[in-house]
Amino acid sequence: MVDIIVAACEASVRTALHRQLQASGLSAALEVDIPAALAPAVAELREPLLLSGVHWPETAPYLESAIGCGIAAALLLEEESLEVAHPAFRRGAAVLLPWPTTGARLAYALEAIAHGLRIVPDAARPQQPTTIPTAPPLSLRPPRSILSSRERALLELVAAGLGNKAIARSLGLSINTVKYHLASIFAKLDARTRAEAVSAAARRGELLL
Amino acid sequence: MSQSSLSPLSSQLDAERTAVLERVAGSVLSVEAQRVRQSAFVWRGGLLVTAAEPLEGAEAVRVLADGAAAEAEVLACDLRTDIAVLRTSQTQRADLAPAAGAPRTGQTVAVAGRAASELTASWGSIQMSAGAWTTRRGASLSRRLLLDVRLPPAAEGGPVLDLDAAVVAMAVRGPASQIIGIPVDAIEAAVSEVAAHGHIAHGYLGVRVVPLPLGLQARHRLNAGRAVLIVADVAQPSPALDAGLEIGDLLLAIDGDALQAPDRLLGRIQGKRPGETLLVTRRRGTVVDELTITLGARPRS
Repeated sequence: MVDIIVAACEASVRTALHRQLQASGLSAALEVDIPAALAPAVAELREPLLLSGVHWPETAPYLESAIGCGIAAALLLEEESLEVAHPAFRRGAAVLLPWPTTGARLAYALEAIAHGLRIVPDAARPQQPTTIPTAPPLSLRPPRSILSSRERALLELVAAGLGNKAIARSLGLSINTVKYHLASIFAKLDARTRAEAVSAAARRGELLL
Repeated sequence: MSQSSLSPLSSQLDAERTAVLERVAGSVLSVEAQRVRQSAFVWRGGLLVTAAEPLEGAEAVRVLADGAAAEAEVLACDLRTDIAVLRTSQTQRADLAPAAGAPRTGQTVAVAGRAASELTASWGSIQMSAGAWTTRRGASLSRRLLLDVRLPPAAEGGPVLDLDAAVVAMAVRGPASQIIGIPVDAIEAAVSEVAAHGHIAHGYLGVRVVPLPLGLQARHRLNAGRAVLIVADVAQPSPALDAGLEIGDLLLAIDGDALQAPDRLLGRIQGKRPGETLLVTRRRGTVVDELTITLGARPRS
């Protein structure tokens, strides 16, 4: 299970966030009261995840700090903020939920983002069928992309069956640079062969199929 | 004595066996890549066939026969079927002929190979010759051939020969130290495609997918406990985009089968050729529908 960090400057907000978690059958691993305290807190936990609210832009420094630490962030915000164009969502918050929110919805959201998913605010998907989905619409990032965009482009060509020389030609790189990137890809994906690297990347959602 | 009465028969058998090797000797070559020593054989006019897996990533290799070495270019390395196709400038070597009938269980075969400049032979039999199967990597092969033969590393990729010196299959190493025969029709298809297009094209849908976490799946009672993949990205342009797949769509089944993991979908897609179709059972919201998507070719640049 994830380690939830409750973050807010005001004690009353932190208390309210704890109550929301309790209502979901969850509890926080830690709480922080200033954005600068987030990084040390993250370092202590195995699967840290930020939960913050409720006023934007007061919440923004916590979001920035979470992104800086590479952890997912869930923000509870006032209802009118909940759209995909919201700066918090654009900046990379994994989920925005209305404040206050129901216990079940919060538990669902936290579980989803612990798996690398993002939850798109409903208004972002007007093209949805009018029937009510049983599952909230989900959109996702692959679980924490570990490859750089260059590495991903290179791996696409490996998957197409190109050799190093052809890859170098296609990407305008030297053979040695291709080999260097491949070694890095293999190390990151714990692969020994090209085929293993391709299927490991596919499993992680990092490869176009 | 008994030994003398057997002797004509066994020497006749010996003569037959050595004759098989003599007939193919000029067409079996040794392949040397950076860390690899394996064998190859001539399939059609200067195109050589060998095992893909040990070679993967190599661009050029050295081929050797009778002490004469030459460079060969790796034209295709198809990991799905484990067939690599090489081109060498030495075109005067004779093509090996494919065997006419289907391989039979129990049939006597030899794997010919070449270790450096020396010809090698491993005699054994076809342990199993069964119907069509799909390899781990998703390739559909017409027959599943297991060989009861000791395969020295340098002979991997060598031809599996019958007593008429015709090629029954190519010998490769499979999982769990099995020796597998790649059937001749797959070899012929690979060589034809390389001869026509210069490479072997892989099927391509143009999506990134991740599995739906099981907890979420259970909570929403999706797909009766079978795995669900979610579309995380759709490439532009791509067959997936043309077919109307969108980020967030749930893939309940592919060709009627629920797939456990994204790499299984990769196997399904790459096991098909561009132009073949994929039947996708898709759920969006509460609506479930089926899309027949014609696969494209994976971009090569």
